[in-house]
Amino acid sequence: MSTAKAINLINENFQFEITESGTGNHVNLIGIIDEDTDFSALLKLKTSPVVFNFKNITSINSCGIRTWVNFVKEFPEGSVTFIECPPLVVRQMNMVPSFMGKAKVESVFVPYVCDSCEHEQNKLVLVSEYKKGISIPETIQCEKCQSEEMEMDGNVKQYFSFAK
Amino acid sequence: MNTLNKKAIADSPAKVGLFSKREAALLISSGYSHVHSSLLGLRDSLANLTLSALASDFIPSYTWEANSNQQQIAVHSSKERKKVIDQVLSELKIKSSSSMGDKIWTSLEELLTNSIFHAYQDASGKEKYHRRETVELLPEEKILLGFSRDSKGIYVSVQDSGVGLTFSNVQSNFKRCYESQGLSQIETKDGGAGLGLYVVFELATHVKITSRPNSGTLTQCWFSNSSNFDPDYFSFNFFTGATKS
Repeated sequence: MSTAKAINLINENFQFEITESGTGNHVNLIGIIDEDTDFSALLKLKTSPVVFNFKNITSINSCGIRTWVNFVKEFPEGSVTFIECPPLVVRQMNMVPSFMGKAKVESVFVPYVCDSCEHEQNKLVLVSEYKKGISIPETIQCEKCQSEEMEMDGNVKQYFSFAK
Repeated sequence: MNTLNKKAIADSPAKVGLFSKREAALLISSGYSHVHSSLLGLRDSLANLTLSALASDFIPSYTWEANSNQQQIAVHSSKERKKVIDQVLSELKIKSSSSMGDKIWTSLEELLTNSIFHAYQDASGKEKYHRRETVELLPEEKILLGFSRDSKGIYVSVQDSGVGLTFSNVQSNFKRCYESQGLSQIETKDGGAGLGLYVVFELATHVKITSRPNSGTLTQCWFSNSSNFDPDYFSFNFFTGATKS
C-alpha cells in the first residue's frame, strides 16, 4: 500500500515526487538535471530501497551528470533501482558508467523511427530480458501510419552496452 | 588563402579509416587533430578535402557547413541559454522530445556553456566567469549561435570571441573522458564537469573546430537525420589559424 505523493519543486526546471510504500520509496524525477539541480533533499532516502523513475527527465547537461553521479554514489549497493530510462538517460549510462552508481537498471525505453512517416516512438524493455538473450525487435509497427517499417534508432548492442 | 600553424599540422596529421567514436577519440587524444571515419576511406570526399587543406595551408569549407540559409542568434547572458535553444528548435521545427531534438538541445547547451563560462579570462589568465553565477557578457564578448536545416540533417555552430580553445585542451579532455574509468572520468574541480566536448563528439556526425588564439573559437557541427545515420561515418577536425574569409 502506498501513501500520498509528496511533490517537491527544486527549481523552475526540476521537481520530483515521492511515493512511499511498505517496501521503500518510488521517486519520479521530472524536468532538467543541470548545475542548479540539488538532490540533497533525496539523500534521506538512502536508508531504504528506492526506485528512481526517469521517464519525465527531459534533459541532462554535463554538470547535471556530475551532480547526479555525486548523489547516487551515496546509495549502498542493492538499494537503488532505475526504471523507465529514456534514451537520453541510457546515453548518459553508456558514456559515463558512474551515472548508474551501484543501481540495478530494471527497464529502459528503446527508440524507434518510422521509415515511412518519420514518427518516433519508444518501446519499454526490461533489461533482464535483454540479458537473458531475448532479442530486441529491430522493427516494430508504427502506431501513427501502421507501417511495419519502424526501425530501432541505433544499434542494439551499443544501446545496451551499459548492461554488460 | 588562410593560414594554418604548420608545426601543428606536422605534429597532428589526419587519420582516415573506419573507426568507432572511441577509437577516433583515442586517436585525437594521441595527437591527430583531423580524423575521418568512412567506409570509403581515402576516397571519402570530406577526408580528401581535409588532406588537401593540410597540404596547402588553408581551412576548408565542408559540404555540410551551412550555406547562406543559416540563421543566427546572438547570446548575451547565461540565463538566455535555454530560451535561445528552445527558439532554435522551434525555428528548425524540431520537437525537443524527438531524438534529433535531444541531440541538438544537448549539444547547444554544452557548446554555449563552454563558450560563456570557459572562453573568457581575466587579466591574470583565470576564467572570468563561474558556473554557478549568472553571467551578463560584455558587448565585445558576444556569442553567435548559427543554425540551418536541409533534407539530410541539421547544422549548428557556436562562435565566441574568447581566448581560443587549444588542441591540447581537446586532447586532455578526450583522454580523460575515454580512457578514465569510474569517477575520474568527470572533472571534480569547482567548475565544469569537463564532459561537454565529449558529449558533442558522441552526438554529432561531423565536428569542426576553428580556433584563433586570443580571438575566439568557432565550433561547427552537423547532425545526420536519424533515419540515414551510419554510426561509422563521422569526422572531427581541429584547425588553428585565421577563420575563412
